[in-house]
Amino acid sequence: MKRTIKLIALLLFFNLCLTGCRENEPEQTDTSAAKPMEYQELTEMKDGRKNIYVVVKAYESSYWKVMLEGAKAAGEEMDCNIYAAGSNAESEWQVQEMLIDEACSRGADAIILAADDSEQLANRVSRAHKMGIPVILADTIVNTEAYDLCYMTDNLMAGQSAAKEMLRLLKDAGNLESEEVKVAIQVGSIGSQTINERLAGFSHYWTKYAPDGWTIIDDVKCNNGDEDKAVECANEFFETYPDIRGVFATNNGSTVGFARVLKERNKTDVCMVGFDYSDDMAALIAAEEYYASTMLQRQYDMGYEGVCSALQFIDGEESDVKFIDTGVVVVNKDCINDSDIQEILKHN
Amino acid sequence: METQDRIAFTNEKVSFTKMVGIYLCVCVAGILLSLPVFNKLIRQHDLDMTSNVCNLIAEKMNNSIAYMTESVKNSAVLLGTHDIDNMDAMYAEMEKSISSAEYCSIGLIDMNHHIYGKIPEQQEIEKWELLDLAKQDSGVSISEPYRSSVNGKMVITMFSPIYKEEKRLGTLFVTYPLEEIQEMANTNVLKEETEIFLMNPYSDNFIRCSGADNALIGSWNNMMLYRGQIEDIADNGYSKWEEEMRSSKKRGSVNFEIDNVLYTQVFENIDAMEDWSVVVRIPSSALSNTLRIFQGSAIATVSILMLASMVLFLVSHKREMEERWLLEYASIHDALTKVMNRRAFEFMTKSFLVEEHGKKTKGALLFLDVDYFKQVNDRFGHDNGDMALCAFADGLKKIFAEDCIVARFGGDEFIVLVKHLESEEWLNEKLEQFRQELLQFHPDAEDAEDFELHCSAGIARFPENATKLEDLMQCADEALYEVKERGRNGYAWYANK
Repeated sequence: MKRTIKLIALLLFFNLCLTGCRENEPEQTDTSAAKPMEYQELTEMKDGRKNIYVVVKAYESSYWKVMLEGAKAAGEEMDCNIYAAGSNAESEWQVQEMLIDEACSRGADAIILAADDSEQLANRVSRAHKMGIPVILADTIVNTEAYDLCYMTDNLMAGQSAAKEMLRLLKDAGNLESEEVKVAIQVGSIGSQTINERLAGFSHYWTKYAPDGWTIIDDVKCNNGDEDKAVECANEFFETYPDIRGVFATNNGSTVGFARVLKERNKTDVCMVGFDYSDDMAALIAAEEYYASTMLQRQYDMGYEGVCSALQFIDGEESDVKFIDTGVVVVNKDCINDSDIQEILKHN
Repeated sequence: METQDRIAFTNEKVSFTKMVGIYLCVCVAGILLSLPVFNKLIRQHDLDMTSNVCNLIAEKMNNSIAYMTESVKNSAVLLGTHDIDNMDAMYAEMEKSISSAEYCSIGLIDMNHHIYGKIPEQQEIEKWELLDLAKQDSGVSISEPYRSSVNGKMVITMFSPIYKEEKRLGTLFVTYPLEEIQEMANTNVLKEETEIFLMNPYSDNFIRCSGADNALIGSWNNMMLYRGQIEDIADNGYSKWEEEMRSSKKRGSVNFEIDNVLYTQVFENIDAMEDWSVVVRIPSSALSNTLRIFQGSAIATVSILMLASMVLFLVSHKREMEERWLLEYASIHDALTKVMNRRAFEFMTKSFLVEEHGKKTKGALLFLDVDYFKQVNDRFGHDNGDMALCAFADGLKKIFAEDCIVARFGGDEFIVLVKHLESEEWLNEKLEQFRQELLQFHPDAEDAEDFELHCSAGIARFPENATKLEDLMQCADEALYEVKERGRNGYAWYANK
């Protein structure tokens, strides 16, 4: 009898297991520990001048330092005080919230913001704008209409420019339209609006203008912003698809990964288009035997023009546009020595 | 009931266990078999539900775009009816006559591709290479979505030719916010779980119109990023689904898993926007929650029913066993002395003798009588007589406890089968012990102090004296008769006569 009861209990337990289990609740990330940095004075501070607060994403990143250089240059030229601060990492939107609040409470005449999060910072941006403080967005748009102007790269167009450059390089490298040509793509993230738009632009242009036999490999690899992983992904591509003729990197980390592997494997027959400027990419462009181009953003202009526009808005001027595409500059071995390119590279 | 007294009429216990096992196996097998069927139904339910959502949204988007295209077309027709063929004048007239509430920007393009509009609008037409769309002779052509410099939002621009008496004057362009179309994808039901895309299957590009992450809504994305996450993509029909979207097929659906989450994804072409489809993706868990709860409840109910029926089985089986035991006990035992009755003894002994036939087993059969039992009844009453019989039976059970069968043969006669006889001396010793045991009995009467209960016993051996019960009984009876002849209170072996 006891054995029978045990058997029944076991079977009932088995049946109840079949009714399913509750999924684990997602873990909450504790970001309360994030503390804002002190605002840094980029220009000489003088009384009676307009005070413009610039909030960037990762303050220590070389990319954002270039933007701050632009803001500083404009501040010195336009005779205004520039304060700058930023988050420690591009995920710390809460820090930026605190920095915006601080700028408002310190009586900012204008705020220039490179937002860590389009959605989370929308309320803070709206609040500052409602307080009558002109808000200039840089690099990233925020999901609100309560801002005055946005300077950023139109990444869809940048992606299209990258595809256009890739087609040019492939043709220069001697690939025939009748041939089968495969292009691999590596991205730094799958949740980044910037990267997604670049990829969309690339794919749009490719679909429209690439010869029928020239295809993008479906297997888009993501390195999650890790340069070592980017190198690993690049190597995997060449192992799995030895006949690759082109590689496209949507961001700096992916560009570094591809550039290193092309050099290591001496892949002079593979054309590369990347984004941003690094030592690895510079070396690849400088080497005559490689077909390599990179798309440079104009973050210096975002900072410089952002300050100029802020002063105009402070003076009550209005703009007939809300979004200005600062565009990208194609840098390759043919143009790298041009003076205008050299001028841009000085800030990269 | 003593173990030695058990008569195994049936192997009902084994049968019951087997029956329970079979019952449970059938129940569990039924549940297990019903699960795939249920899951298949849920999957079909998901597909149907997602298709319905997709149809509804596609229809709303189609209506919204159709309304816009009709509006642009009618405006172009209206412009053609004015008595103006100078484009500057027409642009001025247009700005006056066409409401600006619904669109972001508006302008004209003449036959020389000169753009009449505000500077940012002109720059956008050139930047996005939209002049080709203005060359279309009829109908309304629609641009791909792009970010407008005028308002910083995603927009689409529509182009409609302007004719005056069949002469083409130019093209009207109107830019609408994409939000107008995106809003058609807003759904209050399953808002967090439902992802809705506006997708171009040729470039794999899509714009997220609805989903949990508001930050991604309204921006570009590409499906190539997510293909790698789809499990078993080579065999799950996803590629076929993509091919269907690129072909002229109106709608299609597919199921796939990402990170162990089952999704249902459906596309439907948007008639009013060539090359674009609306794609709806919903996790199965969101659609099937109710059905899953129902499934869980059904399994729990069946389990409870199983438990209840098992308890019922066990209780009724236990009762049946108790009743059967009582009946069995009553049928094989003597009601007074509780030892086996004659019929049961004969049945068991015959079975034993048949089983042991031909073997070297040695045993004995004892016939025992209470000496002068009638006098006990007459002197001390029937109650004391019954007590004497019980004491006699108890004494036998005590002394012949192991490997023996004790029975009341009838009246004051008892019979004992000793299954394994160690030696005659051993049995003689046992009988002596039994006789001593009987001396412990005292009737419940005042004048019983001098009373002693005695017995007479006749013993037959098997297989020496006989191998059949009737013959053994005959031998033992003859030995008993001899004891009685000798004056009772003693025992005799049949072989000793």
